Amino acid sequence: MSSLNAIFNIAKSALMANQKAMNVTAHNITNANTDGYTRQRAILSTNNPVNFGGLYFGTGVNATGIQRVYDSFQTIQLRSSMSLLSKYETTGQHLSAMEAILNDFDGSGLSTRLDALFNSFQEVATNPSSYGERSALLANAGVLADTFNTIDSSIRLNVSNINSTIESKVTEINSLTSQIAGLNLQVSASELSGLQANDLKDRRDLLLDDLAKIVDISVSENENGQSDVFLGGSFIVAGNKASLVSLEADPGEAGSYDIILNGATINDRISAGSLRGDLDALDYYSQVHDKVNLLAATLVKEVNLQHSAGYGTDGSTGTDFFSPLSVYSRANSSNTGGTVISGGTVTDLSQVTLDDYEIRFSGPASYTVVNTGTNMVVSGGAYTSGSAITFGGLSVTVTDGSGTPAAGDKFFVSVRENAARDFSVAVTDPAKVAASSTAAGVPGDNSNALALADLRDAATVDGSSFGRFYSRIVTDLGTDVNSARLNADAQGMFTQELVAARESTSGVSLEEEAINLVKLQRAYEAAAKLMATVDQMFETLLDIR
Amino acid sequence: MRITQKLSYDAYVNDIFKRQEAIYRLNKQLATQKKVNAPSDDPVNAHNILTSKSLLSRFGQYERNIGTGLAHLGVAEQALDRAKDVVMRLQELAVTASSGTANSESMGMIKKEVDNLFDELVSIGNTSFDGRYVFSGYKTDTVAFDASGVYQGDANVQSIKVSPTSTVVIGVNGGEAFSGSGGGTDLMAAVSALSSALGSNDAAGVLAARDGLDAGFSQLSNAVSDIGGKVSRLKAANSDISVYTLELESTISTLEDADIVELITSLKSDEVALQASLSSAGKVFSLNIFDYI
Repeated sequence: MSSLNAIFNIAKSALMANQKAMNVTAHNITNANTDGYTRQRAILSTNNPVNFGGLYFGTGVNATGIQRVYDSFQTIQLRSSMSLLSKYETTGQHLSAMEAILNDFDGSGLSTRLDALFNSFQEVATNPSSYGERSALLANAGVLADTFNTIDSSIRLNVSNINSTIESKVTEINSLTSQIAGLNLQVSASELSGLQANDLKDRRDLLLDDLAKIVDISVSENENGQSDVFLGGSFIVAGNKASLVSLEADPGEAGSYDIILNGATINDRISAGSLRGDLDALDYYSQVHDKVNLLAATLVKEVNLQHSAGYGTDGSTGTDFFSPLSVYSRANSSNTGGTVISGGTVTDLSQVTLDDYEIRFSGPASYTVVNTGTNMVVSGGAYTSGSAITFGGLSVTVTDGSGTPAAGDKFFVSVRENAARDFSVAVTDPAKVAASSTAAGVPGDNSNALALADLRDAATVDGSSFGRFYSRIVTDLGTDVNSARLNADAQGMFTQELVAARESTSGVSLEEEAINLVKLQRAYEAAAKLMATVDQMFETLLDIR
Repeated sequence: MRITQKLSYDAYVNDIFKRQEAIYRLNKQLATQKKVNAPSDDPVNAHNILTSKSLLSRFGQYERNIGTGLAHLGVAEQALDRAKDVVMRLQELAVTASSGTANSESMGMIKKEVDNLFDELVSIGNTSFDGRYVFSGYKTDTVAFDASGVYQGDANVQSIKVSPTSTVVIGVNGGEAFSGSGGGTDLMAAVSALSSALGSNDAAGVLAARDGLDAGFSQLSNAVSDIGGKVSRLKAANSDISVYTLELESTISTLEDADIVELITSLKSDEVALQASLSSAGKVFSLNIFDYI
């Protein structure tokens, strides 16, 4: 049906379509700097032609859709890269903080203090009867104790900070997943009614990116346009429902969290994201803390053993130089029996291995004691409530409280657990410093002081001397901080490339939009011209009379 | 590749951040004059630096030990030299007394001097340094000899560490040097014997005491030369320590000190790069298609 009216309609469709396309361009230009915005494109297509007089006549143009220019593969790649990057960055930050605690290069760290202690022992050996050297020794020992205490409290502070970071990250995960679930609902509502929910999807992608920075997720879009999100193989968002993540105290390890999703602990299934970084850092902190405790406990043990063998200028002997080691014992929180553990004491310091022990009950009447450092059974027997259990120079008492022990009950015994926190100097009177190895009246005897000074090089901690063991901790840490930094740098570069690739595909180019603007303006003007021309043609027609 | 405005802006921002970070690091090194400020700056050498610093502090202690040792040995050496002089005089007196011309009167005169010299010998034996009796072994708070010249100390001698593996004795045991404990000559007893022989006009006794004096003198001389040996050992140890200390200091310096020339050169080159980035960014940002349509 070729008629002037039809041409009018064609011109009208062109005006409408170009105006719609202009609308999309305007939206692009205004969102050029919006985070997560994906540029959109108006899809113009021809209207269905009509058959008239054996000829197909076109009927103009229509805007049939608005499309996001989007590459889902790029997004998946970028997300996993961001997860890794934020893991490396987070671990790096935490390790750097630890490096600052243990930094020994400024001459105020633990190794300097250890050197000062042993130098002081030497100084006492050189002038055994002099008050000044003894008093300087006690001062240096005090500074060493302060350093141990500070390291311990800084580690504890950082650990509790990391734990509160984990708490707030879990809250954020839950907030993000419920927002994603909410957006899923809106997206599916508009997609079911045949509309493309471009901007909603952009906002959802942004939330997914945020989530990926915290934990590594995998996302799949279902047929309704809803994103299903998996974390560690388990649903965290299914359609418009979000599963909440929760925290529970880890029964195996005091002061650490289990992350629970859908009833299962997923700590080990989180492999990237800043939360993994936090968890890795916690592991690292606990390892280093354990080593520092071992160092402190060994120092107390070795120095006290040697010191108590000597004599002070006042004839005192058997004196502890550092405050003696305490025994820490506690019941496993998942114990089902009613027994309680108490009364841990060191009965023979020379027998103490400084390893941790577990008293394991196989039934209400029998137990074994296992050295968890070597995994060897060191003792065992029939259980009598209230009688002391002794092993490895330690003695603890397990007593029936509200009931007898149940099979599988465990009690944890450690001498090194809080050694760095408890580290302090017991001797306050310089005269009690045992420099002499013969009984009273020989102030010039320095042989015990020499023996104390010689402890510096004795292979006492894990096959190393004190200084070497500590410098191993510090250098291992330095290596790990450095490799975390290098990993973060490399991953950062890679992420930048991916961001650039996504921006290249989905970003708004103002040049492109400006050219589109001109193009659409001209098309609009041409369509208007067409309309004016048809109008003139009508007038011409109407003037024939 | 399609380059959008955001992409080029981001690239510039990243680039400028990177340059600024490099400049910050270099400035920090320049301020501390150290290229290694934490173990992670150079993990490979961190252990080396820490160990070297610990060794350095230890060598400082050995140096102080040696200083004390030298002072102690010096005091002992002086005392023994004076004792040798005293014994020499005693030998002269004994020779005079045992010559045929001596009579009971001259012997009495000599005895007076011998008794004075004996007191001096005891007081030399009781030399103290820094409030401690040098010759009384570990019993540094007890006088080494009582008025009758009997040794009051014990058989020990104090020793100090001069290197991780070696110990040096920093003194002389008065019992050995003066009283001959452990198989030597009792000099004090010899002097007492001389005095009583002189008192009883006993020429044979004086002669016997002379043998004791001779043996005592060589005992003192031996002790002095022992001290000489120890002093030279301490000095050798001290010069070893100076060499090690110097080596350690230069090792630490090589590992951790910044090379200022290199530092300033790279700082300048980073500054130039930053300026280039900024000026290129300024030019590109001023290009705008909307100026042309």
